[in-house]
Amino acid sequence: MDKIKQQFKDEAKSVHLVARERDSIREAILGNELEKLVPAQPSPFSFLLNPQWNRLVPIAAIFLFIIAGVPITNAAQQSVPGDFLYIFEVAVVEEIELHLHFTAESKNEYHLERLHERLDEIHTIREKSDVLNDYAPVVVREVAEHTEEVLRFGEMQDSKSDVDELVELSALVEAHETFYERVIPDGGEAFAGVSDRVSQEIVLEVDAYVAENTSETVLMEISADIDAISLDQDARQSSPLESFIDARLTEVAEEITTKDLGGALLVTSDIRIELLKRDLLERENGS
Amino acid sequence: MSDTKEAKERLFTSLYDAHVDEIFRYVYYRLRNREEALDVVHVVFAKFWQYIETGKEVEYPKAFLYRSARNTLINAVRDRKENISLDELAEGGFEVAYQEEDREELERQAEVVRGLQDLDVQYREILLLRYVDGLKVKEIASLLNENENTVSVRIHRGLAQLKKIYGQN
Repeated sequence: MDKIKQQFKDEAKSVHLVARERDSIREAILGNELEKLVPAQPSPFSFLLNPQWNRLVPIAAIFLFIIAGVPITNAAQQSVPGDFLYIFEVAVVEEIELHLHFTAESKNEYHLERLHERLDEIHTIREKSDVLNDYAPVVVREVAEHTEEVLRFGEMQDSKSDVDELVELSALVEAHETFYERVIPDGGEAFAGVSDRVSQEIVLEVDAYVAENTSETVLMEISADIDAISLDQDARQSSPLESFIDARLTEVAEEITTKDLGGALLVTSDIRIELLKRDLLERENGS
Repeated sequence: MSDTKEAKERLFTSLYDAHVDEIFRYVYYRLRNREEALDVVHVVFAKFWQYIETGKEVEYPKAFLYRSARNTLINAVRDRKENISLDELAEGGFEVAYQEEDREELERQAEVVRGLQDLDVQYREILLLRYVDGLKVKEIASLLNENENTVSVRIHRGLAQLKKIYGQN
């Protein structure tokens, strides 16, 4: 049998890059490719994203209202990535808007809306590829900050709805991660920390939920998740997701058989995240 | 980590030379399309260069590259189903100016990859992980979410099937 192993190993390892492929890839990375990644002309307001200047935002806001009044603020609100006033919108106008929300629930909704808005801007990014490198770091910072605020709000709550909210949050973060992974080298990696943080929270919330409830209650919850997933799956017949869902539902059944209800609930949450993420990205594709 | 651009390029080049073939094999055997495999390798090492260029320390480059290759591969397979080309994802591909003498070698390698299709899929992946990627039985079991005994049995049966295939050839 050792002879077979060696023959297999030798044959399999005889597959390699030819010298010209090896050189072409290296040159594409260290040569021309890098020139494409030089950021586009930065916004004159980029300095506001620097933490050192960030403290001046409230003063800048007052200054804006005195000097320019409502029209410029409105123009900033309508701006899209690449526009002159866009960074001003993100760094100043949205900060002011946040302070106009007075309850924790209302602030939480505002942060979720901003995560949706950043995702809604994807179609603009597709059309204006020159703003991508300038814009991506702003999005990473924004997504991380809003996600952190939503997680902080969740820590103050005490219900199963936490898992549902975390599923929505996770789908939003993963939708950003998937999109930037596709359009910019290392784009998805930048979201990995935020994504891991939400995943950890889901595990903790599911553990807490299983510990605090009877097996019957948890099973009912899993069953409700499966019903929702199955309904969704009916609408996705013959799509690439169908086999993914089937495989994951088999895992759910295995987890229930081994009495690991927390594991089963985590898998159904994973499926829901994937479905929601796909919907969010498809919506942007369609817009 | 050295901070001059030349030093970063030297570090990248040495790690690229050390790992590019194994990453290419990992991808090519799974995609079974050389052009797509080259695009994935390009994306993986472009990300790796960006990581090094920003001055971040790469403690385990091999693990970083395999993880990145695995993620890019999954996206490539999903996007293939959705008819998105890897060139689009890589923000523009690259051209290889093949010479006549390369053709014979490329065809030989394609034959090796095709030959592997004679193996049942359940044995192919495990034998590749064990003997090409060099993973231990325990690591394969963990990666595939199987128990070690199942993996060992499949390796044994896979080798038996290989023996028949080599015997026929």
